[in-house]
Amino acid sequence: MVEYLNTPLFGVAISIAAFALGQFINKKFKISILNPLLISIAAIIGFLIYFNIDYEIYNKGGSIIGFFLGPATVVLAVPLYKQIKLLKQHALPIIIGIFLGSIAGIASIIILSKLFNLDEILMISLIPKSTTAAIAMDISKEIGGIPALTMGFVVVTGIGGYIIGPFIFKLFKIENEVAKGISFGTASHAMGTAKAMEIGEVEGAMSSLAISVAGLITVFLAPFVMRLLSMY
Amino acid sequence: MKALKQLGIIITILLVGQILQQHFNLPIPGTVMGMIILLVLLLLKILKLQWVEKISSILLEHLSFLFVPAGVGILTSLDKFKGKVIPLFIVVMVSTIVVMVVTGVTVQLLVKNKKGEKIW
Repeated sequence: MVEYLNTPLFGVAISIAAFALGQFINKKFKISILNPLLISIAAIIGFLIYFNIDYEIYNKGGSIIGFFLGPATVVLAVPLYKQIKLLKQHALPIIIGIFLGSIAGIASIIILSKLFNLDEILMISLIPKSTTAAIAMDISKEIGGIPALTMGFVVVTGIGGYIIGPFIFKLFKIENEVAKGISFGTASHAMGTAKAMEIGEVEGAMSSLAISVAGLITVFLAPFVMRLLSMY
Repeated sequence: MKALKQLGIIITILLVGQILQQHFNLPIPGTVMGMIILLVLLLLKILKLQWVEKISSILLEHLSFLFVPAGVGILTSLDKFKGKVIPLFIVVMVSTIVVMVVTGVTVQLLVKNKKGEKIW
């Protein structure tokens, strides 16, 4: 039976089916932990393990879908271009905020990883996790992490930020619309942006702008951090 | 312009980005180079927004689906997770909160300061 699945069609078909299932469950229960991406990944992994199908067989189709991540990352420039006015208006606060936030995030990852005695490969794969998955996986590859692991951390980060964001803002009295939006996008990329859009228009725009800017800043920051780490 | 031509533009930009990355051995991923090139071309009005708008909305609309195979790739490194799930979860959550608080507080402070200056 399995030999019939040794075609790219299998990976593509099961990916689409699993994602459709994820969207259905997500709409039905409206719980943010039941994210379509998370559900479809879990469903496919379960299927492959249960029927004892090699990842390589799945990935014949999977790599075709993955190919489009490249162009999808390039077009992230479009929302950034559309909001360039907002960016210019508050350029300095936004860039300084994202820069400090990203540094603090990476520092906290390194400190906590050392504290928990995590393997270096896990720590490296964690570093780009607040950026959007397309950029995060590329950074991970660039600095010697495992892109698939990074991808998992990115998803958990997104859902975590989505859920916890409003409480954090209340706790730390972050009330400014621009600040809330930038904070969402910097900490938890597109999923944070989804929440920001629910809160308000300015928040949503700011958050989607922060995804691209934070991604770009981390691209430059991560190799630099790696060089610092290897020095000592 | 039809989606196919628009995809052609994006793929070409991505190809140029990757060539630049490899040729100059840049620490920036080729995809991000492509993103920077596209932004510059749009800002310089060399490319019109309409020439890439359709394909970008198609791709961005399906962005989370495109990550499914990458996520399934975790299967190949499950052994690296073993016994580390709880500490990893703590690291992910705490650092996410750190980014949120530092970014949010900094931006709020600076934006308010700027407004204060104007009144001054």
